[in-house]
Amino acid sequence: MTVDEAFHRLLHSRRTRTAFIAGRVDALAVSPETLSELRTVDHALLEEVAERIASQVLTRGYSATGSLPELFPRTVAAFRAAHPDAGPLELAYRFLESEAFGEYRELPFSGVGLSLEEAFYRFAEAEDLGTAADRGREFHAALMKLVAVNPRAAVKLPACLRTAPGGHFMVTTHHPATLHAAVGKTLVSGPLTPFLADLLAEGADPEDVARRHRVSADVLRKSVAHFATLGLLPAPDVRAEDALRAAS
Amino acid sequence: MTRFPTVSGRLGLGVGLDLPWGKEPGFLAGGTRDGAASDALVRFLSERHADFSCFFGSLQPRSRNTLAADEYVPAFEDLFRRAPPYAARALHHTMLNLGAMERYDRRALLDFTNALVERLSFRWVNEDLGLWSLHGHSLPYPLPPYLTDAGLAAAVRNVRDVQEGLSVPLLVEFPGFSEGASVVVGRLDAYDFFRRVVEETGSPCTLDVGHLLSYQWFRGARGEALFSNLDRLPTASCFEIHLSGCALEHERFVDAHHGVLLPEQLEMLRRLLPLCPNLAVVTYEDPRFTPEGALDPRTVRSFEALREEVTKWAA
Repeated sequence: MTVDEAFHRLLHSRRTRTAFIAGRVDALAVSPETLSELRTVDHALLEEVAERIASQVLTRGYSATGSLPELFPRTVAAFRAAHPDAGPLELAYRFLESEAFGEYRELPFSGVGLSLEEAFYRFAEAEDLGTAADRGREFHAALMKLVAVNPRAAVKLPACLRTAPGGHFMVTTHHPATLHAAVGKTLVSGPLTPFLADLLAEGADPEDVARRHRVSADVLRKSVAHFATLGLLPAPDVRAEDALRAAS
Repeated sequence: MTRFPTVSGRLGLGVGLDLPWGKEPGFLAGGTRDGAASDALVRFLSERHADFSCFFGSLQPRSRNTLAADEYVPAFEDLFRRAPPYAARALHHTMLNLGAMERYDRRALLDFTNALVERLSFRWVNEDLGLWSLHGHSLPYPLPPYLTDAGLAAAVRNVRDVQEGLSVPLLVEFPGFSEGASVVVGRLDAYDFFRRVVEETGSPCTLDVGHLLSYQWFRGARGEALFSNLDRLPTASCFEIHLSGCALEHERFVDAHHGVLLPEQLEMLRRLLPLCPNLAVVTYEDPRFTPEGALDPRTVRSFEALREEVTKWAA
C-alpha cells in the first residue's frame, strides 16, 4: 500500500484508524519507510478531519439532488431505529469503510466510479438496512433525480438505467412493474401493465410484444406514440423507417 | 523557465470571490434566471470598482456532469457583462489537485480549463498546492500535500504537467493549514517544500498570508515567530498575494474567509511586500457584503487598512 492509499484508508476507515492510533499497524500493510512517514500524523487531527469527512458524506447536498438522509429517508430511519444508541455519525462511519463506498467517485479524474447514491444503495443492500422495497424505491427515485439534474453525469450508471431520446428511464421488476423516468428536468413515475413494461424492455420488437400480450395494433400504436411523446421511445415514424431499413 | 503572466507594472489591489452555484454571492441556480450572476455580487463589484484593478473567480462545480465549458461560460459572461471591466481577470481553480500522488488524468480538465481561459479571457490560473480530493473522494477542506520526498516529486510532476497543459501561466499557491481541517503527513518544512516546487518547475506563485500564518501557527509559532523564515519562501517568484479573513478561535487558527483580517495578516503583508520584486497584485479574497452591495460593516476597517497598504506599495 502506498502512502496516499494508506492515508485515504486512515481518513475513511474507522477500524483502520482506531488500530493505527492504538499502535496496531498491520492493517495498513505498508513499508517501514511509509510507516515512518505516517507516524508523523497527529492522531487528534486525524480523528477530527475523519469526523468532518463522515459528517460531510451525510449532510452535504449534491447539485440540488439532496443529501443521503433526504434521498433515503426510510432506509436511514431504519438504521437509526435499529441502532438507537449509535452516535449521529455511526451510519456514515460504516458507509465510509464499506466496499461500496470504495467504488464511489465524486471526481472522475482518478477513474470513473459509482454515484454516491448507488454506492449507498449497495451498502444498504449489503447491510440489509430497512426493507428491500423501500431501499429499491428510494434508490430509483434518487437515481432519476441524479440523471434529471445531471444528464451527462460523470459516473458509472447502473445497467438497469436506459438512455432514451428524451432522457433516462428504468422499469423495476417488482410487482407491479413501475416506470421511473427523467425526461429533461421532469420526473415521471408510475405502475406499468406487463404489456407496457415489455414494450419498454431493451431491444423489444413492438409487434412481437403486442402479439405476445394479444394487444391490438391500434393500442400498440397509441402506446408507442405515448411513450414517444414522453421522450422514452423514438418517434413512431423513425421506428417504422428503422424497421423498413432493417427489412431491406 | 518561469512563465509569469504578462502585465504592465503593479496592478494594485484585486478582488477574489468564491462563486458557488445557487448560493450568494455566486451564480443563481434554477428558476427563470438560472446561471445568472447574483445581483448582490454585481452591485458590490460596481460599487467598489474604483478600488479593485483585478478580479479572480473561484471555480466551483456546477453539477456532476462531465465537465463542459458551455455549462459554465454563460454565467461568467453574465457576470462580466454586468460588472465593470478589470485590467486583468483570472481563474482560481479547485480541481487540479496538485498535491496528489495517485494517477490523475487531467487531460479533460485541462481542455475544459483552456476553453474557459479562451472564452472568458482569463490571464492566469491559480491553484493551491494541496489535496482537494483523495482517490476521487472530495475532502471538506483542501489538505496540505504530502511533506515527504515522494510527495515533493509528485507535486513537481503535477505542476509541470499542468503548466505544460495550460494555455496561460499557472500560479502555484502556498496551501492552508487551518486547524481542525488539516492533517499532515511527512516531516519536510512546508516553506522549503513549496520553494522547491516553485524552483524546480519555474512557476510563478501566490502567497496567501492566512495560509502562511496558519502553517506557522500549526507548527507552534506565536508572536514574532509567526513571521520567521520568510527567506525560505520563493518570494522572487511571487506574482500575487492573497488576504482572506482569518480568525483565532479557542487557540486555533481558522482560515474563515469572512472578510475580517487579523493584525498579523496585515503585518505579514507589510513584511512580504519588500521581499517580492515581481509582485503584481494583492488580492482581498472573499470580501463580505450586504445584498445592496455595501461592504459588511464588520469588515470595513480591514478593507480600508488593506487598501491603504496596497495603495502605498502600488504608488
